[in-house]
Amino acid sequence: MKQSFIETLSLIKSDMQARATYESKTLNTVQMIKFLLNTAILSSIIYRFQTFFYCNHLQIIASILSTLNGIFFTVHIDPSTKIGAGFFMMHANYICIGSNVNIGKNCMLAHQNTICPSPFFSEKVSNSAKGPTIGDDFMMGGGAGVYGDITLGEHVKVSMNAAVEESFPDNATLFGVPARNMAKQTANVATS
Amino acid sequence: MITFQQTIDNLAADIGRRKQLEGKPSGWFATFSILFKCGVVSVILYRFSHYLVHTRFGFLHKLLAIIDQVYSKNEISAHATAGPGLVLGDGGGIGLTQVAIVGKNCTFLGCNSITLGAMEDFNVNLHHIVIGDHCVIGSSVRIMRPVEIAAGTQIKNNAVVMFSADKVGSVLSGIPAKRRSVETYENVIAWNPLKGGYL
Repeated sequence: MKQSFIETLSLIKSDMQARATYESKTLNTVQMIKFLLNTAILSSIIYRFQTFFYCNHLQIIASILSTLNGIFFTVHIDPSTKIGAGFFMMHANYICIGSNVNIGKNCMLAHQNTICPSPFFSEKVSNSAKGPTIGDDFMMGGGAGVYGDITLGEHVKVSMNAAVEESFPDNATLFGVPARNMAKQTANVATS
Repeated sequence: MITFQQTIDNLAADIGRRKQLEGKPSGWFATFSILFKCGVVSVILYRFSHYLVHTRFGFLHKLLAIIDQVYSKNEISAHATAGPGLVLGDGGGIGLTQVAIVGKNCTFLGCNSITLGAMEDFNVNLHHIVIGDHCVIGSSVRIMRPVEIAAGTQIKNNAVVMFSADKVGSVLSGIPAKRRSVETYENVIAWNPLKGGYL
């Protein structure tokens, strides 16, 4: 994977655009300067630069930036993680994204989220070092975790405090520990 | 009561296990490269505060606790007992109370809390949370009662542990946590929880 400096800046702008859309504001220069005071935006800017240094063979600077991001904002994102444009953290608080993780565009995280390869041993499932692969428009509630060698489709929503450890298809809505798909039930509630 | 030599030995075991799990080569440069990670700093500060709290410089453990809270956001009581080979995740937010007794080669990952605060009738002199050897505790796990957890237990993410797990190698999950499966102890010992780069 290669990421140029211009691409890094455009990714940062897409992150700011995602937040501006969420807060229903227009993204102009004044708004961008205002966003620089936001801890979630600052930590995503640091993450974008750490991937830039990681792709350009400066792993030492990338790991230093990752550690600083952890100390200041408690956002621990591995430099090798791939996250698409429009990455939006609601609060920069205890977010932990491990290595070997692929996340698509327009990912939205709340606080205390964990997205990592599985740290647990099991004889039944394959104990590979691969992390989750997640599609576009992913949305996570506070305290939720996704871990293991799994694949989630597009438009997946994970509820608060859910622990996802299996693969799920598109448009799934996941609740509980361990998580179950409640897309049908929630659709009935919405229409009735 | 713990001697200074035991503290240094425990610390060497902790850093050595972390290096081994992360697959770092032996040598001073590899040690230096992990020395500023939040989990490693937290373990170092805990070891020294656990030593200091029993000496006449006991007041210094509060200062080390403040440094730990600012740097790694972990709150680990100086009175908690932990065996050698303790590995803490970099995620921060790990809370270990004074009643916790942790065995050797345990791994704590992400933000989990181990407290005895949710009980009405507890006595810190009588009740203890005992965690056996080679346990793996996932992120956001809450242990809220004076339970005993057997060796080789793996507690999955977001579990709330209310009852003791007395079977060796059991896998706990859910709210409240129940035993979902049992793994053999040899496999759990040989397993590397940081294999996929889990922080």
